[in-house]
Amino acid sequence: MSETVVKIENLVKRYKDLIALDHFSLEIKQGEIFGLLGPNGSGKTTTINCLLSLLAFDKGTIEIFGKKMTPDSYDIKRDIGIIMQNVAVYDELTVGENIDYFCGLYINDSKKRKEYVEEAIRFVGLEEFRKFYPKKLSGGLLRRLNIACGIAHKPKLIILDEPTVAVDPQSRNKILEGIQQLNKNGATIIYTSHYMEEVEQICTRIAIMDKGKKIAEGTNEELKKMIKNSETVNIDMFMIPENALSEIRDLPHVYSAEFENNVLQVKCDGGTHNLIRILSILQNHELKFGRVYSELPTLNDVFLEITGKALRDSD
Amino acid sequence: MWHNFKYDFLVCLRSKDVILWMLLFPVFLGTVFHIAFGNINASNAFEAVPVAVVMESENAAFRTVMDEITAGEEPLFTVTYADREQAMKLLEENEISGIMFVDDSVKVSVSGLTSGTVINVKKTIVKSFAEQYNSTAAIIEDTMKTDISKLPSVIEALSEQVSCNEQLPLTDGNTDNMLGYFYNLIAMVGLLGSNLGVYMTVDNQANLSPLGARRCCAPRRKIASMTSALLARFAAETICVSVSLTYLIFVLGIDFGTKIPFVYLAGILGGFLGTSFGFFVGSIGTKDGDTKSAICIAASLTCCFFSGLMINTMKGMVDTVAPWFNEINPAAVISDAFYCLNIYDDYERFTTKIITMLIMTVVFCLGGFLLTRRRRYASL
Amino acid sequence: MPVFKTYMKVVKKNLLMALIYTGIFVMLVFMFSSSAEPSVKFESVSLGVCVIDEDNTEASKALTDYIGSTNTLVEIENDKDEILDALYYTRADYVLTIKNGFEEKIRAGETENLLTNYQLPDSYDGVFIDNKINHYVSTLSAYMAANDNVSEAISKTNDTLSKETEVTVETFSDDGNESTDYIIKLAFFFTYLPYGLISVLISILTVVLIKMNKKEIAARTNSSSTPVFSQTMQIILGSLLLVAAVWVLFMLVGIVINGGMFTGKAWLAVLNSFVFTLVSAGIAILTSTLTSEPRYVALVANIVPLSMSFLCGIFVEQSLLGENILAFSRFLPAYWYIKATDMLAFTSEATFDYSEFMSCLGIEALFAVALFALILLANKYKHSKG
Repeated sequence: MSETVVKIENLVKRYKDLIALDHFSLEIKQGEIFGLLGPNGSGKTTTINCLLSLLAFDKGTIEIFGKKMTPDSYDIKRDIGIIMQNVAVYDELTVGENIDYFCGLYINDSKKRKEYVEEAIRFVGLEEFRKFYPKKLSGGLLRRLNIACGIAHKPKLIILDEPTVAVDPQSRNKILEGIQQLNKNGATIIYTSHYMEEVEQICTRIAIMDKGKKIAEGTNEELKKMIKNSETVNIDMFMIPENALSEIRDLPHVYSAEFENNVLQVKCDGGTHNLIRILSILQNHELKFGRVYSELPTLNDVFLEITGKALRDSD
Repeated sequence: MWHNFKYDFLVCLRSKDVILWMLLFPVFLGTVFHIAFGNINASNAFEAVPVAVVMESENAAFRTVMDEITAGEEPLFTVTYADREQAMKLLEENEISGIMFVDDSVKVSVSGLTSGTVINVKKTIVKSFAEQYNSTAAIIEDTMKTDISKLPSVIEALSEQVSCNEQLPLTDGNTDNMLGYFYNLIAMVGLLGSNLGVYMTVDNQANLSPLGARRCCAPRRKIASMTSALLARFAAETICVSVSLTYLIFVLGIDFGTKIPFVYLAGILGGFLGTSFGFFVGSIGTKDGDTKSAICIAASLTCCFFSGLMINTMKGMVDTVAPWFNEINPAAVISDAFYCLNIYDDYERFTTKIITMLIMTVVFCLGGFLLTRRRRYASL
Repeated sequence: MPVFKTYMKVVKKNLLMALIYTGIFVMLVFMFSSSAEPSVKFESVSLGVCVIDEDNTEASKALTDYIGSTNTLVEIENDKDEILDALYYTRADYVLTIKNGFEEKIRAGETENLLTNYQLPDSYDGVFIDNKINHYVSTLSAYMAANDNVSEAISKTNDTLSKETEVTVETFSDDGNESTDYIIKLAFFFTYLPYGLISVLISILTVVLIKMNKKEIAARTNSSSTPVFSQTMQIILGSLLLVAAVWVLFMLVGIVINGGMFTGKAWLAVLNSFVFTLVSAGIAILTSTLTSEPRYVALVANIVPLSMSFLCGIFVEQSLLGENILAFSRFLPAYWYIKATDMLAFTSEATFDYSEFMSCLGIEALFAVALFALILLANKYKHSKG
């Protein structure tokens, strides 16, 4: 069993009448890329801000590296790197200077710092933009600078709060690859996002949040196993008679079959050969159909099933 | 600490908009003042005062005196002899500065519709002339009644230019009250430093900006990083004030007196005062930087208004109504420091002003540090 | 009218600076207009005078009494620092030293070096006391020349000087003339008005326009279904209302100062102020096309009105400014505004001339036209640049 890096217990945070975090608990082990997934306003950023001791909370305890986190825990802070949702760099400093400045808040040894800064610049691929001012950078490059400022001092724990908001796909992939690279180099990562694809892609463990509560936690596969749905079959067709539809509904493992907008959608809760059985029913009725495709469940389905609403809807 | 200071200073210097305006303000306005006031005294070359004389009964003596006065290279008056009605019309239309109604003695009418410094001086000249004439006439009449033989010596005594009363200089310094505008200009530059203070607080507070949040996550003591940030702003403000003063003193040649190093000291301390004021204001509440900066500019402007930036007699007016306000109005304190330095030989009053500035600076800084000492926020 | 509604919301959000400038302007007007007396300050109010009598003779005592008869005598230690202090903290306005031998010298017919004084430089009060003393001494020495008896000369001097010269301040109100329509307080108001107008309009109109024309927002509204023409008209409508509101507000202040509705000649000043409001609006809009950062605006709102005020004779009378300044100021609209105002108020030596007054307004209007042409040009340039 590897070491616990972050331990949050029973965290409660209220904003007047609104409960932002409701007895939220979390444990993150060393070496994980831990995804915190949830719609906007579900409490991800609040959690991060409490974790960083920026935000006062009403109840609960937070431990990082096995020690209680307070605003004065400089030894803990030294090993944390943060990348905030909003780009936090000085417009008046160049790319190189920004990274050097923030790195310098952690690393006093100037020789070592120089090395680290270079590494960070290379890591995010901003070598050519070293002398650029942030205002001259595109959105994606700016995000990369934002990340470089957070990781230059080689922290053991890196917290990324929605680092890919409003980033082009290329930069996004670069960022995601980078995060995995950092993880390989030994950093534990906390990653919040409302893009489930990203989380699915890189996170080793995931917690899903909604309304300040943790509603599910586990690896990608574990989460998906939690729900009934294991396969969704979609078939494009013009029409389907009611008797054929009910035959499909009666198939084993099928728990829902709906025809809407010229698509037949059948949801199955496991088993094998579901597709063949469905298609044979259609053939028996001599029904014509077009494209056939099958989907494995996504985290959206997980969220949907647990909360009754889609992740995306709450954007 | 040095690392922080270095970058804080760099950030300040590169926030071009703020710095540029803070330099543009004194350079531009200083030039305007210099041009506008440079000629005030030169433009006041004496012109003859237009008057109307209404002879209510013929007075030969008056006419003689008047003829004498209006003759020559630089006549005191240009006279129109008129009847009452005509004269009143001229007065109403502002063609003349006053009417003299001549009988045994002279009475004066001036217009209540007109005002303005030059006009008032002219009215005063009319009135003084009438007074002089009346008393001289009385003296001569008296003498003729009592002892006519003394008349020549009396007339001699009267015609002698009186220069009995010598105004002694209070000081070797320059007491030109137009200098007040330049003093206030530097006070304004100092107080505009509050902008630097405001943005510094915003950049350092986690609840005010993402940058602040990032800085708060760094393993640095808050008081240390705040102090270095503040010192960097002080340094930037020192540059602004010094450049402004140098421009005024050495380029425009404004006379700030002989104690130039102390002038710089006062200006720079004024800058510190302004910066720490901004630091304090920036620390209050959660409004954004632009709003707080607007509040600071407004406050600076109001202070300078009461200290006479717009109209230099303002400080005197405040002094009669609420003298205590001049003691605590930062703009008044800064400009008074320059004034005291220029006017007084000793440093006593100057020191008082400097101490007042220091106290205010310390109070604002302490207030700022107290308000920003919290490191966990109720909301971000 | 969604654009218009938003415009008004943005106005509401950005009122602070405009209110502050309004406040400063109102204070300026009230403080200075209330100190302005409708007549010339011939007899200054009782001043604090300190007399240090080194002569201590009948004549010196008489002079002291004479000064004391209309002023308050204060005691100050005869020490330069003490005197400086007293003057600086206005415990005294004038310090007179009657030198030893005052009476002797006057009796001998000498008038040199009888007295010395300290006063704060450039104080009008000081000049009045100077005159008073000179007058007394010259009268006294004349009577001394006629009398051997000092007491008699003094009593005669006092006698003569107690007969005041009668000065009437004509207000021209009795003969039903319209001249009282434009009281001095109102003249102050209209003189300071350009400062208030430009400051307020730059700090509100400019800021609002910058925010409305922000690249991203403009792009979004431009791509909406509301036609660009309609949007522009809505923004223009909002701006017109805003400018009109500012002008009306200021006129209300004027009415308060006037103590009632404007009458007669004052309407000419109102017309003048209206034309100048257009000029100010032009300046504010031009500023908004030239800067994109609201935070610069606070400084522009500070510098532009102040420098204009000093160059054009708003804070310092035009009649006091040098010819070469005025030659330059002619290229600034406020110069013409003030020229017209001075004409109405008789604060300069210019006499009122209807056609000249109107030509001043015409020149202001030309400035307004030029400004709006510049605005169009700047906008065109901006668009062509992308």
